[in-house]
Amino acid sequence: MKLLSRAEEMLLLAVWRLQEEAYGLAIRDEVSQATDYTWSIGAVYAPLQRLEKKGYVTTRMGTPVAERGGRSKVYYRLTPAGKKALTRIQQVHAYLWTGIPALT
Amino acid sequence: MPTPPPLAAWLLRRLLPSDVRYAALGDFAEQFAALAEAKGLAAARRWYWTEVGRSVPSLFHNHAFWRGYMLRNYLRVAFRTMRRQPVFAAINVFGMALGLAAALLIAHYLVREQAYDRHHQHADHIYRVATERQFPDQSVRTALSPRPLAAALQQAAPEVAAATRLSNDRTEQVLVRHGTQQFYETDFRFADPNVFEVFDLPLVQGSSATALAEPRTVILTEPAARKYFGNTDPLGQVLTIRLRGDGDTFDYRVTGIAEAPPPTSHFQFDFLAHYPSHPFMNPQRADNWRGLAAYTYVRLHPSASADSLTARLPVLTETRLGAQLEAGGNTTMAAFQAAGNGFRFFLQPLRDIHLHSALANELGANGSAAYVRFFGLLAVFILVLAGVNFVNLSTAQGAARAREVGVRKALGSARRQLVHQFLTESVVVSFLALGGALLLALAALPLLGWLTGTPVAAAALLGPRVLLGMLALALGLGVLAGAYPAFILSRYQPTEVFRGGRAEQGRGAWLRSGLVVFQFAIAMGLMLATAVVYEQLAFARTADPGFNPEQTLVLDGTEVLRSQTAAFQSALLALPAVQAAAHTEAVPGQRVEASPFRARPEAEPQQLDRIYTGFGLGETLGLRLAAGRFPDPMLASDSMAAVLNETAVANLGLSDPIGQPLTRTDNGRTYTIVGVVEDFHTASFHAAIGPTVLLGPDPFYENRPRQRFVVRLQADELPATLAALQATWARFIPQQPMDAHFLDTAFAAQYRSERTLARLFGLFTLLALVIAGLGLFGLAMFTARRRQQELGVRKVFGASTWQLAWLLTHRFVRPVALAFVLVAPLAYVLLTRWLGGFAYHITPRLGTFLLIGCTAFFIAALTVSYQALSAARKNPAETLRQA
Repeated sequence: MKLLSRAEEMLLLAVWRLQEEAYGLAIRDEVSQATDYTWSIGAVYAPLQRLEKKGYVTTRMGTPVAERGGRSKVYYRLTPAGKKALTRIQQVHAYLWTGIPALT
Repeated sequence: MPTPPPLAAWLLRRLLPSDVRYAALGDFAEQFAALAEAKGLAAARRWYWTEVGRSVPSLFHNHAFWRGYMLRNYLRVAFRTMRRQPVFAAINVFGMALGLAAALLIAHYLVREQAYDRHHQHADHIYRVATERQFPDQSVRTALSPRPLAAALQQAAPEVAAATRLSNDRTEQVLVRHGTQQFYETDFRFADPNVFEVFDLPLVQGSSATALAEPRTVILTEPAARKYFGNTDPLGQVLTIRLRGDGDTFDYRVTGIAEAPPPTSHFQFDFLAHYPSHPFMNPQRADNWRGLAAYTYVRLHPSASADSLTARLPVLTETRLGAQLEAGGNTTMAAFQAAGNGFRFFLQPLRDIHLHSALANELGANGSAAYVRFFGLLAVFILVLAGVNFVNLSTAQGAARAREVGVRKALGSARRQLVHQFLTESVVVSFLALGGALLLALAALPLLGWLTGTPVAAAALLGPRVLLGMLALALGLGVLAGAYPAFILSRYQPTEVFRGGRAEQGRGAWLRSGLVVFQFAIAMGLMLATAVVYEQLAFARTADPGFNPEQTLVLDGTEVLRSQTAAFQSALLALPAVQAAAHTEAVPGQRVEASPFRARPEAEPQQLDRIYTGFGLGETLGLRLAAGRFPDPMLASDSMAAVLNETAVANLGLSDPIGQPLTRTDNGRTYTIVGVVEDFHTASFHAAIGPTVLLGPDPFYENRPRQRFVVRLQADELPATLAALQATWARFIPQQPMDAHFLDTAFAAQYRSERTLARLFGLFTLLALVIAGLGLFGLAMFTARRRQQELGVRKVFGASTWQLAWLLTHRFVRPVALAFVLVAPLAYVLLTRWLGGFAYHITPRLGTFLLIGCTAFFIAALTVSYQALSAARKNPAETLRQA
């Protein structure tokens, strides 16, 4: 299995952290806060679409909202495959970060 | 509820991948609403735009990736299809290449025609002041205006930033000498010192402030300077100039070298000389409001309007011209106008002169807006013809491709993707054709140069703007030609296709026949036009002009002979090869001036074209007498003789003209009418023959500024004759080289633009015919192939080869016949209108029309029957075995 990219990893983590509240704007706020940098919306949705195609997230519709021009919110949720991919990348990080000389 | 900026939202919708479009647009809108509440609408809008802008790169990348992926697929399929049907592909590409090449060449012509005089920085604010001169019985619109007009405008019209003049005063044949170098110059003009304030005439040497500032100075173009001075510095050098008129010469100092004016300038020059110091100028001439002698140009202030200047012009005329009329003591402005006389000045925008001005005395041959429109239309027609081929061949193949469409749809292609697929195919064809078209156009450049008489540089043809335009054109042609087939082909339903029940063959057959009709209608229309134009030209060339232009030599510039004129004539007549010789003010084909004449004291004066001449002109030109005789040198009384043409006799209202007096009313000289000649053409067949009078050897004429000798030669030994003439000339006029040309060549030169038109017609007709023929060939080939088995069966049952060939052929030749029926009446009407531009013209003949119709018909029949015959001759044993 191919490893997640850094952006994909962050997006999946944000989806997991937000749980039931994981929709586009919230996800963006989450990753922007973490990286101290405002992610462009394009930089959020294109990878999210890729993740959906790979089967790491699924979507579900909320109720229509007036502020959204009558559109529903689209919520993202991790699939088991998504969780597995996160666990895998965590292991890689753990291995890489363990037992190395101090950086500072 | 605040809504996001529509344009930005639209952009976002276009860019977002479809899967996330819904979610993302909703999120954007929500954030936008929240921001609008918190920080105001403006801030929210700004945010929205910023976000869209920031998203563009990543989204676009995403977008382009998938698009590129599909495009590669489309291209691959397109090339496979072409490889499978190489003949159709070749017909398509070659047909479109011909069409695009024609369009490119025409576009070049159109761009060039419309680029005239745009190189001047102030082109939009420059106008020429032209004149409509009203006489009691007619009016003349001329590009010329009175000499004092420019100064008056500069002084009295606040709209005018600068007013300047160009002039051709006595410059039709200027002899320029420097040391031993001496040439006749035709592009010698005079200009005011401030000509640089109106026009952009870049100087290579010298400065626009001082060049032409002093009397008797001249600027040359670079080529002219090289001609006279080679590599030495021309500035400060002296040129000796002899203008038309007496033999006097004048020294001009070179004060500047100008770049040669671009070909897209409505006036050309090799020399520009200081106008106010013109050798033949005097205060009275310089201030003459009644003579039309200069070209006046004004540059308006950017804010000024041409209309307000136009409104000022009548006042100016009345005060200045009126004052002069009254000072002359003859008449008053009111009486002048009451008699039906007048000067009306009008402004012509500089940029319109080339295409829209057709006045008398233009500075050069202008173009024609009608021809520009016509050729534009022609380009469109030819492109349509090429597009039609593609449509016909693609839809004809519909049946063959139905299965492909069915399989693609069954495998999940959306209809839109199939449309893209077919559009890609047509665009690939049109782009391949574009490559071919560029090569064809380059190869055709020398041909085009020959056809139009002006060489075309490849660089001018393939400029970046033209190339971009062609790219757009090829794309447009591809999309337009591909749209209908894409629409038709993508409609097939897999279920129907696989069941095999559908008779796809019939689909679009009507449209195809209709398009073939259309193609041949255009091709035949062009053929008819070409034929009629050629017939008219042949008529102009061979019809009797009323005089004999053959074996007639014109020796120009003999006015310097003065008192030697008669001696020169005798010397010429003494040469064995010379049959007749006479001097004259003008020969047919040259501009003739008109003056008022009357035959009876009580009659209204009539404007007659007048030609001052010596003894023997009628005999030399071969004019035919209708009554009376030509002036006779043996009769002393014939020194003031007049010979009228028949139109002049009619205009003057004379029943028995011989022996009557004829008075030129503007100078009071009276002549005696001794003869009447049949009407003869002094101008091209465009113009009706005007009333003309030949005025016998009048002592007054001895001082005319223009004189040339007409010499009729024996038909044989031309080189020896010319040598003899040369020797005689050198004896009388050693100071200037002999300038001789044949009258028939000069007379034929009047039809240059028609000849160019006829050649271009011929070329584009050929192209249209080839394109239409290619299409028909392709269709016939396709049909023959498709019906191969049917033919085999028919043959087995006893059909003859000829019956089979006719079976295939008749369906294709019928549209051609129909096309002829449709186009012939239209062509007749349009061509009759074109011929109406000639005062003397042919009437289109039925025979010509039938001949053209038959020719087109046979070309079509030949194209088709070749395919039909080869299909019909095949052995049924072979064709049926395949099934």
